[in-house]
Amino acid sequence: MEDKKDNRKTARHTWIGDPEESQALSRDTGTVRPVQTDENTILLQRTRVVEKPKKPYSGFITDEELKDSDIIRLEDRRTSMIDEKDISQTRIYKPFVDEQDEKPVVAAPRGPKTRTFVLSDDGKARRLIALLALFLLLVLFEASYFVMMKATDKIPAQTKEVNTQTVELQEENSKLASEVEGYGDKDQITEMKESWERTRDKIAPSE
Amino acid sequence: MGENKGQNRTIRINDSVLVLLAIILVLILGAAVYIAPRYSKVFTAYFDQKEIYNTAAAELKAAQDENASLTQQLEEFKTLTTELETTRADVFKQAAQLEKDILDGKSDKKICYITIDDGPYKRGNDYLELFNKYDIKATFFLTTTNGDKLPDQADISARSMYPEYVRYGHTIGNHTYSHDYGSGGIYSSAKAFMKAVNKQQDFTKEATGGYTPEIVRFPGGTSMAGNQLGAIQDELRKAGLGWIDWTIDSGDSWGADKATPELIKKNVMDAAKDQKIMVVLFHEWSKNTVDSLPEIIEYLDKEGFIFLPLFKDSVMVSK
Repeated sequence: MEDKKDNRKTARHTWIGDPEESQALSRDTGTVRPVQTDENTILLQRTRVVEKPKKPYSGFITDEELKDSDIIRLEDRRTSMIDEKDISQTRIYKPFVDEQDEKPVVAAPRGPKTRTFVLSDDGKARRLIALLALFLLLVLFEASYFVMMKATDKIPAQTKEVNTQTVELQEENSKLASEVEGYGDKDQITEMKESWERTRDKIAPSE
Repeated sequence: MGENKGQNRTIRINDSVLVLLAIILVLILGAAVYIAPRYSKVFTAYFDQKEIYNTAAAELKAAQDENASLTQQLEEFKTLTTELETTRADVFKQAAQLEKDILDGKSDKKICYITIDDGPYKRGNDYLELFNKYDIKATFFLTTTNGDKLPDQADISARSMYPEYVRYGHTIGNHTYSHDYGSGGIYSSAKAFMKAVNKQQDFTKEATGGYTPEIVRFPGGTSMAGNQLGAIQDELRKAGLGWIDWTIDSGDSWGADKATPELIKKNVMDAAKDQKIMVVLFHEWSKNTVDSLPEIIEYLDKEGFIFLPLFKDSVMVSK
């Protein structure tokens, strides 16, 4: 039985008791009361409040076990020593009925443990975003450091390559300039060409 | 209460993911602590290197631009020069036909070949300026009697004048290197003559950057060769050269007293009346010639003469 309000479960233990035990005993872990009596036997039941169990108890008590008073006594002694807060298992008691639909208790699959964070107001959300932005800036800061460092290593080789190309081009330009200079003045050449054209026109056959 | 607290946002994170995030955050913080004191140095080094690279890249770009510009200029010059040479070749081709037509009586046109001997002189510039003014071209038979010094200006290299004749479109002829037709000179043998011719060829080619004369004028004329004339002409043919004298002597070499501008003009103008194709002899050193030429040119132009430079295929050139 689960008390959802304070997240507690109760467990009941039933055993065959003697008349002296039939007196209700108030224990720290619960109360004892007779649940069934006949001429020779008294069934006593103790109800204990336990903490939320962590795993189900896979065992169950059979009718045969109930009949075994030694086992019951050992059980009682054991359970009486259990601290409320350290209960890590719960008992699943079978009802005292003939028909039993015994189904083995299979432990529920344990999912991944998760933690839940609640952003109860906008302020918390904004602070979280600001923190994430700060870490993003740090990442960018560090990335820029490594990028610059790598680039600084590469740049001298690139500069050398560029300088080599420049020197070669300048040598070629020097030769080209000499060649161009050798032709003389472009306007003069044009003028000379036109002069020859005028001469050609003079000697052309008359029509 | 009346406050609108908004909706709660819930974030669920798996424990292992949480651990991983924590590790990452620690690493980020650790890296930040490591990098912070070193960042400035790396930053400065990077931008210094970058600036050096950018400067080098700018220089490369400038060199590339200059290369493109020079290449284009060179192409333009080559095109222009090719067009000029083509036009010049057309002129000589048509001139050869015109000569034929004139001699056959098929054309009324007249041709005057002005030839100037014994240069280069500093005075040669006066001739160049004059011919440029009248837009005419002549033939200069050059010699190197004074070595690489201009006879009338010793501090000027004779070699420096040669390109000017070519630049103005005139024909350069070979007047032998020494112009020495005295005893034991160029007319002593065909070999001696050709030696002087070849030396002048080399000098002209070197001074002009490749121009090679095709026409020779014998110093003093072919009559000075005497009994060596035949042998010399054979040698000239073997060398692929033509030779030419003149049809009209301007008289500018007849002595300073005699060769006045009036005499020079009269000699040329009177002779021109009977000429259809004439080759006129002048001398570069003659100041009176320079003073006479404007009037001579204008007269001949009025008489219908076309002024042309000599070319090897001309009928006037012996081969």
